[in-house]
Amino acid sequence: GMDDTFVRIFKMIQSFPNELQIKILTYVVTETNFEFFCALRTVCKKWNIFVPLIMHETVISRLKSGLIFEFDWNEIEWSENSPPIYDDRTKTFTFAFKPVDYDSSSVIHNYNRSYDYIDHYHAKSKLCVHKRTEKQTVVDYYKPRAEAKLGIEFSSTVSPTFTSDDNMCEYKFDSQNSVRFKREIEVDEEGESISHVKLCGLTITAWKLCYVLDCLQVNG
Amino acid sequence: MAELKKVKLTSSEGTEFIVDRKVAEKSVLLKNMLEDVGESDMAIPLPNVTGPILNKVIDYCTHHRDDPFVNQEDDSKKVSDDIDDWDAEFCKVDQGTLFELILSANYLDIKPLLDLTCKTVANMIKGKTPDEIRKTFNIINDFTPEEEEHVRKENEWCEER
Repeated sequence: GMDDTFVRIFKMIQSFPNELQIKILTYVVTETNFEFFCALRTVCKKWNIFVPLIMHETVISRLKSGLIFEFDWNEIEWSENSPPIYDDRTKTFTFAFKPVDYDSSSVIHNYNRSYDYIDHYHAKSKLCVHKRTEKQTVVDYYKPRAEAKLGIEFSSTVSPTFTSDDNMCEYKFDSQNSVRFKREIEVDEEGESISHVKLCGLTITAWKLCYVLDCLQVNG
Repeated sequence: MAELKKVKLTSSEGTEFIVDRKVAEKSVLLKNMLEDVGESDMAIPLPNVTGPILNKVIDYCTHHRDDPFVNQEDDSKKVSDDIDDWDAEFCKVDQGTLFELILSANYLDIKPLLDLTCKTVANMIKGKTPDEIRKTFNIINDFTPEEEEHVRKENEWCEER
């Protein structure tokens, strides 16, 4: 009767408690891909808020589960207390890594600034996401692992920008994608000071990262 | 034998249902209530659940009475393709009923039923455009035209590839 219709009209998905809408949308992203999922923001105001939250959480959980994250052949991990941050304004993910000794070829040169982090870093860089299998956890970066690897290439001719802290350096590939390095100085046995470049951060557009994760998901 | 104990449940309209305690205990809410109350012949009122929906819920719990208890946290990885035939048939109901089942499963705290019904809705969303989704679920587009355009534009990032 009338009452029944009245009740049913108000049992729309939009009036569900937030946690139920989030649960449903989480199944949607599990079942589809980020490209489809992110388009759901335009459905209504609430979904416009839920979709990026779920996307953020799903990206982190996928990166955590059985995937290796590499930047220019360096395996990178974020520390437990600083998970990747998603900024919905810039649509980027920012990672703060456990400091990783950057590839040995990135020697520090004494140029007009007292050091130059990334002399060889002018052309291309690559972010790779691998599936973690037992075999692949063996550090053997130079063997092709194409079957389970997807990469994003960055290229730029822009010079690195230095932050106010002289031990930090940011290298921008474009307006949205960048990496950050830190210089650490050690004194060796002969009393010589040696600088190490440590990779400590990455900012990457969400769509690039999501694209890689979508592809890995599709490839099983 | 404790296994065969019966429990009385009353739907929102006052209809009484008598079910095996084991079936009722698929609901964490009822399980906790029954443990708190102990032995009692008093009917448990369920003011948030209508008779037809309670009937469906009891069908579900009876069919799944011997399933092992599902952990609260381990579900989200499971895909909706793993819905078995009986469950798929169970979910072939009109949208109003499906939504009431979701709300009842949530209220009664029956996680497998909540998962099943939410997965069913997720499957209905799959492959539809935002406009089709709004039509399918009577979702009101609460954006102003300017806001909608703004969100749509902002969202072009996922189409940039």
